[in-house]
Amino acid sequence: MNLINRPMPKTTKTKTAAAALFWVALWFIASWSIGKELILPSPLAVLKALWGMLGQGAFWASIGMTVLRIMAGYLIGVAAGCLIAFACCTSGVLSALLSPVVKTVRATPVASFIILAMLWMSKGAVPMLMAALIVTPVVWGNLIEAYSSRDMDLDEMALAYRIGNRKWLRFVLIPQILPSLKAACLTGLGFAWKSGIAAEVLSQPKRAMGSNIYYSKVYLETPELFAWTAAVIVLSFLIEILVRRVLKREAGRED
Amino acid sequence: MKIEGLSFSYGDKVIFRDFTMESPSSVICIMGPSGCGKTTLLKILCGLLKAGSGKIEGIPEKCAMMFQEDRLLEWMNAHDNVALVTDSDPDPDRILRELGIEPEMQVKEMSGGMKRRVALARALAFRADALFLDEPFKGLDEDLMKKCAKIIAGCKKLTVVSTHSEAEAKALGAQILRLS
Repeated sequence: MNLINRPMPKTTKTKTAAAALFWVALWFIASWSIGKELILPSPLAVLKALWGMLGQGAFWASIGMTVLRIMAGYLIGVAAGCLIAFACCTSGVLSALLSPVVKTVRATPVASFIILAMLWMSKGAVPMLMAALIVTPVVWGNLIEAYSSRDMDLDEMALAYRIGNRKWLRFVLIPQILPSLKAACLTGLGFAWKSGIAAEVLSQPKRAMGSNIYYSKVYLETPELFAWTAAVIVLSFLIEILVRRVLKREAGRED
Repeated sequence: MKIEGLSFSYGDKVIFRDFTMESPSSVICIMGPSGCGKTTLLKILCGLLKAGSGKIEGIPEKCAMMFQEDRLLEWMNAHDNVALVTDSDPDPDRILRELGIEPEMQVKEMSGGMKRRVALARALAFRADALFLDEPFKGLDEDLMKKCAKIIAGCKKLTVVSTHSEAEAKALGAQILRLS
């Protein structure tokens, strides 16, 4: 098989639906073979649990609060990542000062931060902080990389034609680093969502999807645990679609 | 234009050592084999590189440099690329049209020769007092080359051009300076 110059294989809606059906069927077979709902509930049991939860106000309140906490943390993380990257790119002193901190945050296990944060702040603030701490190094790293690998010939052209800092920033630099920022925003979103839910599981704030996942585990309600997890996944997908649309619209404005 | 005792090195590699020249002509073509320092000399003359030593006279303060690579902003159209460098030109599209380029055309959709002409239009629209053009006719056919050369010669400014072609120098009516 020739691997060179092959286009990316196309995924149609039919193929996606068939793939989803395949995995659900596999799940059904696995659950049926094990025969214990406590270990692996069937897709029908999970659907039933989810259906029951949909009618409860507490379910929607948990979703609302979780989205609020994680998205607030995510936005703070994106803003912090941009600001720190800007500081590092413009000042050697600030770069020497801030880069080791961001690298340390990036290397530290999220569980360590969650446990520390639980000692320092209210339960509700922990998921927000975790989302921000996870997103900041991703955005910072991508922006630093994009800035370092920008086309220096264009900078020389900008100098030769004396276009000034403002025009250089808007018309030369930002279009070059925007794709990296966009990629960082999308990657960071997935990380924020995962770390935020993990923080909720460990800190158990009121009205939180993570807390409900934890309680389902404690009370051995495996179908509910799966239902909450499914809700987390669906929400994560929906928010990713939303963020993609916002980024696409913003990129369109730049053009 | 007068250069006296010019020296320049990239690290240990000496490009010019005590280089001296004088030209009464306002249009000069620098010719010579690849790597002999044509681009370096243009960059020194327009102030993008600083010479190690030497004296340069007769170069105006505001210079336009057309680079060997087009160095256009691929995400913009021809008009925006030209308008970016000129605040004083009320009609940056005039020079583009004169060179046969549609101002609204996106740079990423252009051929090599079209991009070259946009880069030339940008240098001309900058309204500088001197033009430094590094292989400005690269990728252009003979007719286009002559047309561009006529426009450049019509500017009546100090113009220093790097080229490998005698025909281009002739089209510009330039004095030839050979580097070795």
